[in-house]
Amino acid sequence: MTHVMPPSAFKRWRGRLAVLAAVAVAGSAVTVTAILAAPSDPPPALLSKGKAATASSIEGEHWAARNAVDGDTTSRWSSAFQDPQWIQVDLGSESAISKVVLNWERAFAKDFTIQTSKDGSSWGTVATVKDGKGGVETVDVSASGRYVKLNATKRSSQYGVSLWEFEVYGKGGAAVDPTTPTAPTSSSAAGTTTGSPTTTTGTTTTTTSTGTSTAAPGTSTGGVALPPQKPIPPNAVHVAEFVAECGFSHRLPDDPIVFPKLAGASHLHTFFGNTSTDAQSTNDSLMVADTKCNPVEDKSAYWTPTVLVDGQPVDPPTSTFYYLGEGVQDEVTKKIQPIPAGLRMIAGNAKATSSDDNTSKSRWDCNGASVTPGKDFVTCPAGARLQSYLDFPQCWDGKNLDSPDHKSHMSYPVHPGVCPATHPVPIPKIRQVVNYPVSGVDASRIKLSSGPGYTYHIDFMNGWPEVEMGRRVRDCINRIVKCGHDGNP
Amino acid sequence: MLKVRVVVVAAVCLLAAGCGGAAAEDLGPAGVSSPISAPPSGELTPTDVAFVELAIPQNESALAAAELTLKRPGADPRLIALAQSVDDRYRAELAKLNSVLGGAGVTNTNQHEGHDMPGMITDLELKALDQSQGKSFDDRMLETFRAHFQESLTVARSELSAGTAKAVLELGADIERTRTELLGKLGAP
Repeated sequence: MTHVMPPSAFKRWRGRLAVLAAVAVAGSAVTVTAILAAPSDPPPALLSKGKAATASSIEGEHWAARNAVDGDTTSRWSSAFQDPQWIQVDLGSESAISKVVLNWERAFAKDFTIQTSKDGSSWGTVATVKDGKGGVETVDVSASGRYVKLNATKRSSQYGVSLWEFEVYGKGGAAVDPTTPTAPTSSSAAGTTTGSPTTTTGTTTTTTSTGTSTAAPGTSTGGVALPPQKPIPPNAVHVAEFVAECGFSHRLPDDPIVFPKLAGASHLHTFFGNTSTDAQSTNDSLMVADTKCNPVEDKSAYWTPTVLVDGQPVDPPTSTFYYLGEGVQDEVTKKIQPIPAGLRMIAGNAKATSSDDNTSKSRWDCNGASVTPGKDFVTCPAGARLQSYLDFPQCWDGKNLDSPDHKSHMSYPVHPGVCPATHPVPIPKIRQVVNYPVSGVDASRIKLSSGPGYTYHIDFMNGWPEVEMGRRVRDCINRIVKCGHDGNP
Repeated sequence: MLKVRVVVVAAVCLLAAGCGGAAAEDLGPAGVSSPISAPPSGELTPTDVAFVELAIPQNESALAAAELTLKRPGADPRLIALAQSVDDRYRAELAKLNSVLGGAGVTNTNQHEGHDMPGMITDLELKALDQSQGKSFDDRMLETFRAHFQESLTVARSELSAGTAKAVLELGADIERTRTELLGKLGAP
């Protein structure tokens, strides 16, 4: 197994490449005007380094706010993937502030304001920047305050905003008459950027290196650039597969696919993977939430009816989701496409009426004992676990991310292992395998919240970042190679 | 709103598939951006449609329970009166619910018919009720109605907070009012 590259690390890597490319292309055009301070005054001191920093959100524990004030340009703060966001630093005492230097990661803010405050609660806007270009951005201000805040109102990409360093320069401890603040705004009302005082236009930005190279703003969601492909190792297993192992998260009577925004409208569901899934969930909300999946890149929401033994919920600790190239001919497998962003689908039939019902896709057996698999529950002896297999359809109509019955935009393959003309786009087949801690329990005592065992079904909302899905389909599925959780052979 | 957003996503991902995947050229209709198959529901959002499609079988199942009660002249008069109220109100609601869907051009897919969903009294439950007698029947039926009213109320309130279509919101408000009133008639459990 090779190392896992989390999306953020990947972004960072990509960002660095962009910087390098820009330097190489721009060559002598690179200037460092930020250093050219006014010659007559003593140079302003860096006041923010090592001070207490807080932020509206972090992308994860590795991207804490303090990383932006630690003087280390290899660690950074990164926010959740939403607008608006803020980061602030407590300078420790009232200070005269002359400039703020923002060393942006590739995920920068296009629109933002700088605010200062004496007390951390009443804020005045001292600079407003529209259509910033990222890179290393110097914002000249003339202000005072103990707290300095960056309010990012518009991010440059679908990611959040991220700073290698957030530097506040000025004179510490020397409380200069506040020429600011004007137009105080509350910390949460980051959307209001109207209060730029006339004395400080503050939009003087000098860019050292990046800026123009960091992809056309607004188009970054479209072209997904995949990382270079690694060669197939000699000991690779030639099975088209990658996998996500997703822990149990929670139970709710919600179903964001069938009953969008209608809290409490569904029978009880058991949710795996994304920890935020509820009636209100959207594809966007999933992408900024946490997950119990390995790999952590998989933010997908997976849910099933809840298994009840004697009427009491029994949840499995985890569920395996295989993404497979099988089920179609190899020639089709080689052309399997990534599961499109935003796809929703349901496998199985919650309304199946009997074990003979062909629309029921359920399959129950025992892990650890040999029993005849059935569409309805089986009795597993002590020591063996009740187990379910369920395959999602793997042919997409190429047009619709959902459909009124949440199924008809998808199809199972047809003879001889191809996708039907109505659903011509092959995607990986998701197979759920789950083991319940149900042993030595007579099948008659087991029910689903949706009814008998043959009503078992799974709902899926795709939460894979396009790069991670694209890379796995290209490297594991299309090449017919078995990959691990990290998506590498 | 939703419709437009989803179309954009679809277009983007097709583009992405075309960029990232090998041999993408002969798969899938290139550049397809036809609308996500939101039903031709006029102003009804998916939330509105889901609410109506659940409220219809909820009402139908409660009407079946009311019918069962009204067939038993020996039942508790309080229960009979309740069943009569359900019968009156729910028939009127059902007509409105169906006409809202029809008016919006949505074919009711009966997604939840026979399905064990909140506020629905299943055939299995009705059968069990039918087999009980005397006070046992009265008590069980009253509790069945209570659970139905409460669950129906929850879903109606979700519609009121998340729905958008005026006609559906009005129905949601009607249902909220009626269920609250019927729960009041039932008194404390």
